[in-house]
Amino acid sequence: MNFRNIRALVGFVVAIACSAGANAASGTLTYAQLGQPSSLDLAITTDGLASEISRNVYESLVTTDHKMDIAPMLADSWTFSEDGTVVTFNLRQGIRFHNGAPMTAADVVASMNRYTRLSSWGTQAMPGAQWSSSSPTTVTLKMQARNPMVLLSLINAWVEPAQIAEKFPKTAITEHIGTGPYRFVEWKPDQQIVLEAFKDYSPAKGKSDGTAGDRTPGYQTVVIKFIPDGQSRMVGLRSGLYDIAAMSPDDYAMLTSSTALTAITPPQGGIYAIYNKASGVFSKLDARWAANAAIDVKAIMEATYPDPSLYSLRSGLMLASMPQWETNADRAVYNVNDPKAAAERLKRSGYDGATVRILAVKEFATSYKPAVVIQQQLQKVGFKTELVVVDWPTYQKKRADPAAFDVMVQNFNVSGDPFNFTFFVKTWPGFTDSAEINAGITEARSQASPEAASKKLELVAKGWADYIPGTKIADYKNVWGAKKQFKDMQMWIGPVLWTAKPAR
Amino acid sequence: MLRYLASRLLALGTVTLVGSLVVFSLLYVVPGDPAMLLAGEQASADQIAQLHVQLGLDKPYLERYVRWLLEVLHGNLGYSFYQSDAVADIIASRVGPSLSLAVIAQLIATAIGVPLGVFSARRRGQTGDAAVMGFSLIGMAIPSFVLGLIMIVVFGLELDWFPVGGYAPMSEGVVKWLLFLVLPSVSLGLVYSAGITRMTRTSVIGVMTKDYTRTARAKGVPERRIIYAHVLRNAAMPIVTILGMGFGALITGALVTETIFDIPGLGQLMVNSISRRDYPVIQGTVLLVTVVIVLMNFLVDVACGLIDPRTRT
Repeated sequence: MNFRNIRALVGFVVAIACSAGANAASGTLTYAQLGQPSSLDLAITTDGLASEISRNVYESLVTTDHKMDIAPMLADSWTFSEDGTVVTFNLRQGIRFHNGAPMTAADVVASMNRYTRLSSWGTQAMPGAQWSSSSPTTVTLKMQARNPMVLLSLINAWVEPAQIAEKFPKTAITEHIGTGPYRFVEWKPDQQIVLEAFKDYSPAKGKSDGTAGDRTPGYQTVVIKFIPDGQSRMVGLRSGLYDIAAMSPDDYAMLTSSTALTAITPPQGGIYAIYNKASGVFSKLDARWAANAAIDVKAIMEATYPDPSLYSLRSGLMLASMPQWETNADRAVYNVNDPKAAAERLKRSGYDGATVRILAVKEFATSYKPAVVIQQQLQKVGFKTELVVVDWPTYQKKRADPAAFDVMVQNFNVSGDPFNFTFFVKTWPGFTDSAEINAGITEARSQASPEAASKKLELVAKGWADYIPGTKIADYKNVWGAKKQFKDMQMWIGPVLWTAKPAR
Repeated sequence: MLRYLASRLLALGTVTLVGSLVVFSLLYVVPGDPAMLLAGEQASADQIAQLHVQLGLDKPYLERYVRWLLEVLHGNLGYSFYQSDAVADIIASRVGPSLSLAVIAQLIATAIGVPLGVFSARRRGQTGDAAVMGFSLIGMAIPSFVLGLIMIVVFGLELDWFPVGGYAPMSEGVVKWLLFLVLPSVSLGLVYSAGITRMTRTSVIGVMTKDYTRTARAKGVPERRIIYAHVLRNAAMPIVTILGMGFGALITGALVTETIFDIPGLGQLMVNSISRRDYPVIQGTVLLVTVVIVLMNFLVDVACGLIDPRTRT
């Protein structure tokens, strides 16, 4: 080997060492999702996909770790007033927006006031609240009544420049400028969203955990493709077109047997049958009790998922990974699986043989297959049933009409606040109106801290057991497929894309 | 001829108007609420009501139709509920992929179907005819998406010759553009060619037994000239009809192929817009589909009128 070759070799080794040490973002990550969100503005939509994508671009004052505990993000710290109605946030310094401007207290106040006024989470958790800044480094939230869970309703409250918040006072923001690890580049409708690493990104302290901690991007470019067809996503992943893809549970065996791919299966939420309490058969508690007792959750999940590792048969509103919310109060009504008792209670209820309409969505694995088995189980104890299988928009419309269904089957994703589940709301489909549940929620909301509020979940769970607004089937996991190198990527309601690192 | 053209154009306008009314009415009765879809699962009733007002869904059916029609007459197809972009721009961005797919699939189908049909007709009852008819039968029986999936597995996954999905515009290079279109257009074109083969064969056989063909043969005109100058010209009307109608269907109706190959064309736009009840885009796309189909009908009529003046009456 001559000198020139040795010099070239040394130069090559040094270059590689330097690039590894600098940990700079590089390469392109291609992620195939099943659809596109309606907007990236979470003040306008509560779409889970919108949250999953927009969190790469935007950040909130606080966020959550993998246990759904509150963690700092744009705010370093915060304090509650003694009566719990005022929260003061101390802002992290040195943060810049993607347009290069520094983030100020005025930007936070404008963004938060807009979010509080427009968003579902804001209007429900802190109605009439006002934000102001008492100094360049602090912002203050003044609520009309205290809510110990208020920080959880802020985890999707994105901060944008004040002029953007003011430019879109009512409609969805279409100019995406945030402080997140990725900068918005383009959105080709129905095709893709392209993001690029933000070179001036200022990460929060601590290791990446859930959506908390360090969000330093690993990839220079992220392309999020919208591929509605499951077969196309599967083929694209296998051919190397995509690095990560949302998959169907039916692809799980293929992923686990592949040498090049891996299955990532984070817990997502619960599958429920929610009864229509406003009219029809299930307006009577006896009928709900009978239906609940007729259901064998194991049979349902075995028919729905190809592998038992993709679900957990457990009671409770929250996930097993959130021990702070654990309660036994609803365990007695979970997986009763007693057809004889169900048939007897149904007879005593005065059931007149009216047809029970089971509403389900064809394209959702968490709806259609469970509904088919539930139909068989209800028929077995004496219910006359009809399966109403429709597409998602029709389902949404039908379930809002108390005269159009008797029980609906669907999944509910877990947020950090169990008192915020839509199936507790009287005006929401299912039309739950239980004095016991409502009292439990009110009691929880009047506590001084989330820890104290979590103790009150027991009251709500007991109300669930007494009133039976629905039947919990199981906790389920979503299936993502990815190249083997991403097996350690974190998942939290979808892939946490900044934790995907290129192979070096 | 001018009178004939005028009557066809008048029919075109009437069919388009009736089509738009039918689609608008269907969307009115189909369940589903775009505001609910836009607002998400946890939206309050107030937020949904506000969105109804913003999107103009609180207005009565007839008022909405008349407003939409007036806007269309002024060249404005409205704005997407979902993307906030002009419907005309959204549709324009999807025409390229669909047109590319349709043109190449049509070329493949015509290049295979017409010669095979003529070949089969000339060897009527022989082994070659049976083989072509066998191919045609298989082609007509296999749905294009099944053929597409087979081609994805063989040529995309196993041999890795072509991309398994997606689309590259011609501006990124003709070779890249073609590479992305090979699998979808072959799967579409092969299936479509089966019908053209059968139609060509039947039509050519019909003309080959005519007196004037027999006379030409008796006069010693070379067989090649008989086929291409006399037979094909006289057999052309049904072939032109199926080619014209087929092309219209290819531009607007290749939804399954566009879906499995992830081509951002009109078919995919239609499917996505229906699934999210994006009424302005559905109406705009259906309007375009109606115009294209009617226009292709019109062009076929004109072509047939030119080929055989007796059809102009």
